[in-house]
Amino acid sequence: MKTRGAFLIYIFPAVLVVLLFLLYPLISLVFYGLRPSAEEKTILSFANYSKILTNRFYIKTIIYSIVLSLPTTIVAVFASLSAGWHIAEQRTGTSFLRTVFTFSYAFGGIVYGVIFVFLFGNVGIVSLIEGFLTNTSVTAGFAYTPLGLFVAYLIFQMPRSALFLASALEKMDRDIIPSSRTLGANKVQIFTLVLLPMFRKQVVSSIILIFSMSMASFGVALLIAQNYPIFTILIYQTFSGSANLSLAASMAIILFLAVAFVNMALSLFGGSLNDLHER
Amino acid sequence: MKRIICLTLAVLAAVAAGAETGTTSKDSKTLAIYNLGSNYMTWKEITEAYAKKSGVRPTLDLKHGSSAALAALLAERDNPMGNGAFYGISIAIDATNKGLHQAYKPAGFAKIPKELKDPQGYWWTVSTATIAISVNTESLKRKGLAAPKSWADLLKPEYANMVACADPRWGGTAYAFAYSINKILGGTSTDFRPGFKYLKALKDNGAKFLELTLTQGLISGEYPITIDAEGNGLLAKLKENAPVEVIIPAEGVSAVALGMGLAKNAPDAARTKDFYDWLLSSEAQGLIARAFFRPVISGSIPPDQAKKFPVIKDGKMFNYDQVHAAKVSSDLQAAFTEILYQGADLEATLRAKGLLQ
Repeated sequence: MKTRGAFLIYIFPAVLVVLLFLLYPLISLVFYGLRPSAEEKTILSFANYSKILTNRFYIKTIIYSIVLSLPTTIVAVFASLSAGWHIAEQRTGTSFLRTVFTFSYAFGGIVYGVIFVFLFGNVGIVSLIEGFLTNTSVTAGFAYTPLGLFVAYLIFQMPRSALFLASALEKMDRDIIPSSRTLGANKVQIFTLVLLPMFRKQVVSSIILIFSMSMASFGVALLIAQNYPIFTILIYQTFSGSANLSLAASMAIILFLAVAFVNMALSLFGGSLNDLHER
Repeated sequence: MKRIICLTLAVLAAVAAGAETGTTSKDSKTLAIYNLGSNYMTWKEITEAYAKKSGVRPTLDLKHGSSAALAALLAERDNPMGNGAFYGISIAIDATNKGLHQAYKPAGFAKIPKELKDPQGYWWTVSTATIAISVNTESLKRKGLAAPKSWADLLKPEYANMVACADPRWGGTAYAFAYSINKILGGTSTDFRPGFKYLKALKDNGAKFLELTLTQGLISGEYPITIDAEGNGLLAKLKENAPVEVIIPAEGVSAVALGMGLAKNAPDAARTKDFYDWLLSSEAQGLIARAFFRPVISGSIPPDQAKKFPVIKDGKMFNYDQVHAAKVSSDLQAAFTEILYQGADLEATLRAKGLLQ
């Protein structure tokens, strides 16, 4: 029993943090969202939810957010597979890559947005260099185009995804590669028949995680997505612009449900967040 | 089960990370006042001058944006953390109507013109600012463009994607612009069609409505043309020597009044009152004039500074009806969202919101 007691002490801070900063705000969000307006006499009201679910613009914005986040996530995860493998294999430059990628956590979304505008804005460094070299201005304002938004999302997704994949791949049995080579498999066969099936769970799990992060991302879109509707921005505008706190709260709950739904659908492909930590 | 719990928690974490949380420190040196933007009206220098004098430092850039400040006071209604806020006055009136303020008449209150204060002191003005066009002349030169001369010019294709304005759902100055451009272009308080046609055309020409202060972007050329308080452009031009010009558009302009309100049940009312008293002193009013905003108490502009303000011809200054603007603020902001961002029909929307009768 002694070890059991010690275990409780160890996890106590984590449990406290979860209760205080996750469950308490989430529960109060649920209640905020159900708060009736001044005219309604009931204790709880679903008016906010029916407003969101029956208004085409809100639904369209959720779908647009998913349409931006999911493809960028999938591209980012596959594109970072080689970097993740590189780190997992402890090849040269691993610690450098790890350090650089870890920086991405230090920057919040707004910082990414600022960096991206700094690079690809109307007077971004890239467009200044382009103007200097070729006297054209093709890249000026690239940050504000839909493709720019796509690239900006990739930039913050890829390093995170590479790190997740690396920690998952590290735990895999990599001796299987020399074994299959010994058995006569060529490179293509190793990749398609051995590695891909082996990676599947890790890839799907990374997609779930990065997708959740992207759907919650806010800063990048705030700075550069002007005409592309993003649900987190809409929540922000509802909260701070229109000061409609209970509508904003129910929008946050709907976002949560939409993300959870897509993640459950993704996990049908055989992965879960557990796979990033366990085998 | 464990899987589901882990998955749920991870999703929660991701969603929660997107929600903005704000905390306010309540130590003896800082005083929580919302929406004192360090790059707006040089609040940075004004609060520094006050800190030097009193040892109390009002917070900068906390709950930035008039409407954001109002939302924060509304959210904290039962347990206020902010002591008050700086707003575009129509937003301050809206906050008063929502019961977020308590009455206070700061020293110098009597010297404020009647139409720029609430008789009971629920809100009052500290400065006014003409809303004008500012341009980065270097950016225009690089593109071989002349500076726009009127509001109508901004709709021309050569200025596509160059105009930036703060979001009227976020900032008080931008809200005043969205309201008063209607009157400047021939609308009335019962017909907002001219204003909304203009705003829609502006957005269709690639104008950005941003939840940011615009001065830094104007100086760097990121936003070559801005619609903003004249003072922000003049300051960039004259104090930072940036290639900026301020243009009074040919159709005319209006001025936004900017001022304060004291939060109901403010946790630190005594020190807030002292700061508010000081804001109407000749020292603070002079600092406001040095920031190229027009101090509310007449005679506060130093003579050498007065010459640097742009001249507005007779009949080109349109009155901005702040009380009406406050009354229709949520309808106007909702119409802005629906017409500009959701593709709603202009006339039907305005009619439904009572903005077209």
